[in-house]
Amino acid sequence: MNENLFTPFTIPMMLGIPITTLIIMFPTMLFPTPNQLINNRMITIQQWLTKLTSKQLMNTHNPKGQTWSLMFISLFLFITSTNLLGMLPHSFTPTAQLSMNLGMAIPLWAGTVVMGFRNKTKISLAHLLPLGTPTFLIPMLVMIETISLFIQPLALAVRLTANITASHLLLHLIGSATLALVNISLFTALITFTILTLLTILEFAVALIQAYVFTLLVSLYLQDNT
Amino acid sequence: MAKPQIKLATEDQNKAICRAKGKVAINGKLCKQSTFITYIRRGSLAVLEARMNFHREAQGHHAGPSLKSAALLSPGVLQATRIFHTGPPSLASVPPLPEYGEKVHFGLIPEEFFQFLYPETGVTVTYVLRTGLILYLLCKEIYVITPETFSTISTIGLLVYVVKKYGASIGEFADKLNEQKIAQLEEAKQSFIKQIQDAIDLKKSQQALVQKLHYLFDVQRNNIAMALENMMRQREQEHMIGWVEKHEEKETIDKCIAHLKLLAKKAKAQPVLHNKTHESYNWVHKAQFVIPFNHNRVLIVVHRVMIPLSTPLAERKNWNASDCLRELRKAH
Repeated sequence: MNENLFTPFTIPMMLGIPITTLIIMFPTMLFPTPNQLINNRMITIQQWLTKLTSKQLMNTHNPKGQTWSLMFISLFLFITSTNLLGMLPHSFTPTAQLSMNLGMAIPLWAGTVVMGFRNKTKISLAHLLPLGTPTFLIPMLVMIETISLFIQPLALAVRLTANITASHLLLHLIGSATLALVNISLFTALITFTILTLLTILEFAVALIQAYVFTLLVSLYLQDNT
Repeated sequence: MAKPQIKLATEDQNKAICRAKGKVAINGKLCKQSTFITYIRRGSLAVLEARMNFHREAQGHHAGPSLKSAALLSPGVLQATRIFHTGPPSLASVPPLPEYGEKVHFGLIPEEFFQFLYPETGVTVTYVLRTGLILYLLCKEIYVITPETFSTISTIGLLVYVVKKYGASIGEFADKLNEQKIAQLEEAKQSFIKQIQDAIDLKKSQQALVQKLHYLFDVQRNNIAMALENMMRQREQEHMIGWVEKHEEKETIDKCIAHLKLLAKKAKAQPVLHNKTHESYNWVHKAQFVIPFNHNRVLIVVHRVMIPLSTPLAERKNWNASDCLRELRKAH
């Protein structure tokens, strides 16, 4: 039973053992490996989508940046599938946990920053100061830019967590409102409609993945290309 | 079991015969190899039986002749010569598998479940089971109506709607993608085949042209011969002119003219069908047409063409010496 509003976000246990790892590994079963030249419909559509997305993501990079394409595509597919599976009733979304999103964001961001500083030190340091600032503002601006650089992984993680958690919570709340109103009045029809529209908007959580990878992409792009 | 009445040839002999004829000689008759194997199996079975009899005999029973030497090998021979399927497999043993699955209820429960229940319950099992199960779960609060129920309803409702409406078109889209892939590869294959075919045709035509190369050589030979002939005639004319100029005496010229008149009379006496006789023409070669031959050569087909002298034969009989000279010079 639901004791409070946050029970959907508790770690699911089976006989006292947390099965989060199994849940995280489940979406891999939904992407079978293509065995032949001409595959079944599901694999064909997945291939087509992957091709589309990867072209969209990676065509702005130089060859050095394009070595990250596998990483980006797997990240994208993982977050998309996990979010979409979390939409099903009574399911658990791993990406709603801040710990996991931090675990994804910090290493990736750190990787790009370190790569930029190792290969193009001057240019990376120069990013800390925007062009055309007045001289007396430089120290403050450098500090602000450094802080904004270090906030990037936190922002990535928290953005994803907050969005997923908030949408799930909202659905739950509106569902409980509906439940309460069923006995009182028949405005429930209207509210169910609201739920429906909210759901469709929530399915654009998939767009968050785009935002996630895009921000990462932008940072890598800037650091590799100047 | 009937005792085999076959004298088996030795293994080496049989092998040689098999190799030679592809058949096996058994008892002086040629049989198929499968028959041979059958006989061997029967033979080894007979050997096994003989072995058994031998044992029985050892224990005091009477038995027929036994092949003691082959007794040890017979079970192995039996296993090794087992006939496997050599003919085409019969299609009637396995029923054809269905291509598509059966109907499913709720997308989860296949129709076979209800077919399985049909003998016990009849045709109403689907409806009764469905309604009863749902009501049971709800009444006994096994399935609790929570806020999540409503999100469930919306989510599942939306999904079902989308799948029912757009499912077929998405499937067709996937099929189209696959077809495009195949069409691309097929086109590549066809263009490759066409390229090769064009190359083959080109080579064949080149071969054919090479076959006709002797025409070219003939024509060249003719050309050279004609050129030589012309050269000779020119030289003759030059010589004649020179000779006439040198010996410009009246007598010899009159003699010349008399000879020419005689010739003219002879020519007149003979019935001349047309103006174009052999002697009155000069051979000239003229290029008829040009064929491209190989990539950087051309084949020139040449034709011998006759052009007439400027004066017709009838006028020539009244020539004098100056006329003679003039005509010779003109022709030259």
